Amino acid sequence: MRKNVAVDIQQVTKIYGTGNAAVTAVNNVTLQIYDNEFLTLLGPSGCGKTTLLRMIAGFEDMTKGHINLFGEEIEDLPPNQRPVNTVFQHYALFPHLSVYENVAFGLRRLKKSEAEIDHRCKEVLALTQMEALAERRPSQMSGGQQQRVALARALAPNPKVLLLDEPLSALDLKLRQAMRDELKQLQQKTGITFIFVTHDQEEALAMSDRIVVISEGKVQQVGTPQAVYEAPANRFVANFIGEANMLEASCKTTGKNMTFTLVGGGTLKISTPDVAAGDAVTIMIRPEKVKVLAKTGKKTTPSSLQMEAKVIEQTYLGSVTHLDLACDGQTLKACINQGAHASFATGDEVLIEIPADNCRVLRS
Amino acid sequence: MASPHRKSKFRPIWDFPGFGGLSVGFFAFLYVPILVLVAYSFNGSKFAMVWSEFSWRWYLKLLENDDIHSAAINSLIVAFFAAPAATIMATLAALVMVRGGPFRSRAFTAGLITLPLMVPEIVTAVATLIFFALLNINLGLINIILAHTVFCIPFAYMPIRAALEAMDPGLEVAAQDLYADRWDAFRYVTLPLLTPGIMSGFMLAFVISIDDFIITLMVAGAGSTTLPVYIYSMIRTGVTPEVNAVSTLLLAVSVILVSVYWLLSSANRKGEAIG
Repeated sequence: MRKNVAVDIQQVTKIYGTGNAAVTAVNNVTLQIYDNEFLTLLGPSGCGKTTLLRMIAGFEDMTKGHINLFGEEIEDLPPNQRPVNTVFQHYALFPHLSVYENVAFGLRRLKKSEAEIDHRCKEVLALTQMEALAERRPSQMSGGQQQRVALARALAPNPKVLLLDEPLSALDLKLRQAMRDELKQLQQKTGITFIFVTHDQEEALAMSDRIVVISEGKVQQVGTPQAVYEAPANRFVANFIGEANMLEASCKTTGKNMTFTLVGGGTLKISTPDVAAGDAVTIMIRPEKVKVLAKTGKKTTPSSLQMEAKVIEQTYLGSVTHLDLACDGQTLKACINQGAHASFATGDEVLIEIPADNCRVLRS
Repeated sequence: MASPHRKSKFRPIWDFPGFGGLSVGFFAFLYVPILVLVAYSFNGSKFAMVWSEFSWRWYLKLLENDDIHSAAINSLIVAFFAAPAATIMATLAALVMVRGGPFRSRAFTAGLITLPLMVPEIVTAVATLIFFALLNINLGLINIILAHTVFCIPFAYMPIRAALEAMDPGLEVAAQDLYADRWDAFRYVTLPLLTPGIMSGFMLAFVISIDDFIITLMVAGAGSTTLPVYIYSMIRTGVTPEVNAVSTLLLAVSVILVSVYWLLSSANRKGEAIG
């Protein structure tokens, strides 16, 4: 199935200021966002993700590049003529208007008939479960309720693309988790393309169809949550999403199964297409893939590297336990399921096993 | 709530010795003269400072005084034209200064708008007089209206600017995102939210205009006397109880205006809070 491109971002660059004070917020970003997709722009604060969103909405000019919306150029249109709506970080609800009038605001500006406005307002208020509070003022509502009104208001004009600028960051943890599911369902129900900006990797993993990892104004990786977690493109992505163990190594032989020698000793055979013999690389393994065995334990998988280690700290987290292990002069993290393994105590000598299949080779 | 048994590190201000007496003295100094003036406006005696009996006598006398009538009407006409004109200009100035983005000499302009508050009024008065004389502008009340409009602008400007600065610019951005052009965003978002600030500016300009003496005295020609100028001329021939009565009326107008405004804005706030 050929996917319809909703937002086509072509070589977009944004530079603030001039001369020595110039700051490149967005650096030559090219990205296709598909119709009916939940796409997340993920990155640390100041990475340019919000700037990119504001350029799609029309609040920022581009220094270079083009943005097309369903095949139409929008870069010369002011924000009020772009068929996209935004859910703002601090909601920006109109304090002098009732919930109903907030939701109706966009429809009124589009000169819809009163009957149409009423129908659509009731529809989106029902969708966001806010019908009962339609006559309230924003100041009389909780943060979560205001969040829903902001969503309803942005959905009411039926935008082609909905932009969400860290909308959950002002909510407390419980509410944030509930809203994640709700946002995802809302996207599926409405079929509107959602572009969601966040610095919270958990949010991104939980909701997105695809994640765009951004750092220092550049796209680091685009992929499904599984792809960015399991096969990160570089060290930044590996470190930013989830936890990662990084092992410095060098590549020994060329061929299908290359041999990597760790700086601290030991070898791993991993098949990887894009490194050559002699390359210095980093081998990444997620803590939950590191196996921890009792000192007397037997090797479980043939193609794995076994090393001696010592438990220096353990953190009990209920369903899992995090272990910090001293191994060859560096600290490795491991995450073991409760009950599935024998428990370890701080100071225990253990064996760890790094399965080659779960390693990912990254260029240094 | 701090219990009286426990010693708090921060003592409430009324715990300090002499605080109560000092504040009573302070308020007495502020308001007792005004209370005396109001009381004596109901004094039946012909002598301003000797109390005889309660009487509406001086108010009735005011009713018969055509000069006071025309002075009061002049004052109201001037305020009703000058205050709205000053408020509109102050609103525009505030919009440019707060929402206009950076422009050259912005700080200088900001100073220029509020400078008249610092210039001694007598200087403004003489300058305005010379200005009108040089240009040979002799339009009676219109001269006063022009002068009042100009010097009321900074008074109206201060509360409007403060209200605009307190307003989240994100709301206008949100309006634009929801298909409002700049005019719609102003009309449906900025203006309604700014209205309390604009009203404060208007009230201040109105009261300042009604109250002004020095500039009006210089600018007013024959036949365009305002109430403060007339009261002053009455005092020159001796303090009569009539002056007390007319001052009380002027005070009442100010108090009523401010109360109405306060009630309206607090009703508005309550509406937001309870709905």
